[in-house]
Amino acid sequence: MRSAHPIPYAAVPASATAAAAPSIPLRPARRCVMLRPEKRGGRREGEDAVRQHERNNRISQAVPFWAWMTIVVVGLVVMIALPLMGR
Amino acid sequence: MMREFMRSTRLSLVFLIIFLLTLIGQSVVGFLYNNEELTQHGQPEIGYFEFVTTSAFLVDVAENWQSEFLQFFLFILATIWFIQKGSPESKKPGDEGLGSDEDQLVGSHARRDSPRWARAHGVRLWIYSNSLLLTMGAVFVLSWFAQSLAGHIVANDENMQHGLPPESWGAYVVSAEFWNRTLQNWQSEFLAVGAMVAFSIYLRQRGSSESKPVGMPHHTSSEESQ
Repeated sequence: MRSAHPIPYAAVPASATAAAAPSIPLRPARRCVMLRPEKRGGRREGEDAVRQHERNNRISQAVPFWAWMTIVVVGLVVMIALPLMGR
Repeated sequence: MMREFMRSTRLSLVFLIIFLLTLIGQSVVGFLYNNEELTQHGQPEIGYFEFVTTSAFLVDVAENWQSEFLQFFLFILATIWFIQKGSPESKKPGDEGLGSDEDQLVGSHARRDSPRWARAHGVRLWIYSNSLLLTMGAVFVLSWFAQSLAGHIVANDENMQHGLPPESWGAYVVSAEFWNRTLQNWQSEFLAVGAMVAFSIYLRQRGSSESKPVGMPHHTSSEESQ
């Protein structure tokens, strides 16, 4: 059966781990404080996402509106101008 | 993003494609028919791009445009004041008229996300409040005018072929030919609108915004069901 860990803990000598570990002074444990979303940039990301969504919405509404308006206006100009030119 | 865009604009996109395909189809068969007629009259045939810029093609396009925009112009106008109980195309009885500022979310009742001109007052608010009707009406008048200009040229071409004197634009717009072209389109538009309003009282199309929900009682308009 394959071990879940590649090297069983017992197989590693204590001296080897001590040598490999850098000598970092231990600091007192800090209380784990969850930063509020705005401190982590979460609210900004959220606002950006909302703004992007609103922008996409505006584009998806504006494109068909202006596409159809252009067709109608160009069509009218052509249908009025050509007969006036005697075509 | 592109997929989302395509999904959210599919209705207008589908009609745009259908419109362009049918306009191209109309121009091709119109071109073939026009050349048949020229041949029968012993005249030389014309090219496709020459045909689509002639009044013979434009009058047929314009006369259909004007009737469609008239249809929507009148429908928008009529649904302000007239009610059809049970139709999803109609407001509910008692709601006739322009509605209060509160109902319409205008002026001081506008929401934060209301259009800017809905928050305005005076002329700007009046224009925006009627912008759909004004636009449809303007397109109707202009395309009807285009029909009269193009039809006038076609009529004078025919007069010339038959050895008749040309007529003025003023004489053409009161002629039987102009009104024949006009009224044959108008009657079909009014037929379709009237039938749609009446049929939708009792008939349903599941999933369509033009229909009431399938199980909604016949006497209930779609606005009441919301």
